[in-house]
Amino acid sequence: MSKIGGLIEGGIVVALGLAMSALVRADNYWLYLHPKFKWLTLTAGIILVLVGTIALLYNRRPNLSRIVIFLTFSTLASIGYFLPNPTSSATSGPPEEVSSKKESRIVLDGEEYIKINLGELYAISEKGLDEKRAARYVARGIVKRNPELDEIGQFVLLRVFIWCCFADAVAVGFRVQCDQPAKFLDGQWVRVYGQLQDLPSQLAEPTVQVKGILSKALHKTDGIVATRVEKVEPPPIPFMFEFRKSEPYAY
Amino acid sequence: MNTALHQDFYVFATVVTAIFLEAAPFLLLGALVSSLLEVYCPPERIGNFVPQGRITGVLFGLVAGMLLPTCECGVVPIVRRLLLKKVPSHAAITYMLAAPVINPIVLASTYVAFRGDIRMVLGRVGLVALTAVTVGLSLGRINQFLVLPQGEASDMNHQQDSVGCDCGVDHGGDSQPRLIGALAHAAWEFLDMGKYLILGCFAAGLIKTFLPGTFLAVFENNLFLAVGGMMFLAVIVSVCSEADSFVAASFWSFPKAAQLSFVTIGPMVDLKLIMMYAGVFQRRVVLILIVVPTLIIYLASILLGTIVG
Repeated sequence: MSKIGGLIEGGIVVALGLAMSALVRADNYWLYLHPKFKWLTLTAGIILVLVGTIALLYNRRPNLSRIVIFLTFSTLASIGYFLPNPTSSATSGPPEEVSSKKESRIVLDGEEYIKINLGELYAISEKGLDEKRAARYVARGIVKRNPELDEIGQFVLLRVFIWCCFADAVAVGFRVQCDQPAKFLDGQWVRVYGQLQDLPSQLAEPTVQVKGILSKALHKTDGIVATRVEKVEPPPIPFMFEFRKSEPYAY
Repeated sequence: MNTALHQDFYVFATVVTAIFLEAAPFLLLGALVSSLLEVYCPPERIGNFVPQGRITGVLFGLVAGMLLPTCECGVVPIVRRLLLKKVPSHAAITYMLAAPVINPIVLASTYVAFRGDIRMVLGRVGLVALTAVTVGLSLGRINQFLVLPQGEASDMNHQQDSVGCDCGVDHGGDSQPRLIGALAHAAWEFLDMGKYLILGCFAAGLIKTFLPGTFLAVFENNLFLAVGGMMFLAVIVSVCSEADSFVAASFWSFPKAAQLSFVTIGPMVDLKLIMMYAGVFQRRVVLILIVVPTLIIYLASILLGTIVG
């Protein structure tokens, strides 16, 4: 019995180490952790394989609760990994690079718009730098609507930022003033062209929710006055992982 | 699968897996350090190194937190091993509560997250040190073996080998290299603690999936409710101490005192830690580890919020 216990428990540690090592090479590592932690996950995975293999050699009385809990977790994690993502139709892939200043802008109706992500735009708004505030920007995010916002021609544009892992994700965004917010569906990905402006809320904090995310940074006084809003495909990696302070922004 | 059910399950599985993946490397590091201590450090060597007096022991635990930083998941197995090695409980418990916060990495992340607001950094250090010292001193009255569950304490007395472990690995004998024994031991230690970590991840995942995202808005305009609400959130979301400042700072509509309470209670009391404490310490000690930090941080945050704003 102790031989079997040693094999099962050692096997669990080895399997977990192999799974963590494999996850580093998977396209959707970003769904769980910030990609900057790949080395950490890989290192831990390799060490788990090593210690688990050594543990296989020892006889040990099996601990049923430990085995059941780890197997339950492994089953849940595996099902979650292979299920299609219901909150985004994003296809996994490498992040888009915005390499040069020229590529970091889009021309629309003769005006240049700087590509930026909502986190970077939030930082500019918070710092209150006039020159940067006055520029025209284009940012992507998901639409969040509610009847109160519809009435005043606004929706909320949000994108999820990850510091470390999905558990500490923060939804960052602005209210967007546009002609026909009703044209867009809740949860739809859009690209908004416009400028930051004081957009004093006529409402209390708009009630918008993102499933699984309790922390939200919705700008209280600034909003985006849109010159154009267009529907777009979700980016390959829908989350934001990087804030840059100048062009080219991470977008 | 029904769309709402699919979404709930997906979010739940993702949160649980993400928290585990984030914590697992640190838990493994803790298991490795604990196992090396187990195999290479006889109790008398550690005992000679750590001051036995209550005040000096507590101060030693506090300083050790600065010199040997570990995250909250990794520190629990280390402290379990230290206690088994007869390190005085007041020093070990103080170290356990202080180390995840009072270290350069976490303090730097706090400084960055709060945009250079040094008051938040000092407030965090001060509150964590106050709490760790208070809990350390109060637990100093308890004999170290009472800190561990009866079963493990009895293993200590009756079944252990020469270095104080019942895992079946020959730590000091000639039959196998000690390092190999330590590595096998790390695997068992990882599984032992990992069990409680997973239970904590499940609890945090359930709450993050099913709690309405708007529930905190009710609390933000009243200091007493804001501090309580942020502390409750810190306990349930179980974010690691390196990242929690960024999450706290995102709740900009809450008073600073409430944000401070979030970053001080989280590394000492959260769902995954509660599960790990329950697996290591006696029920009475688990209660002290939950109630005393909660009370101190709540009252101190209210006081700071009233005085400073």
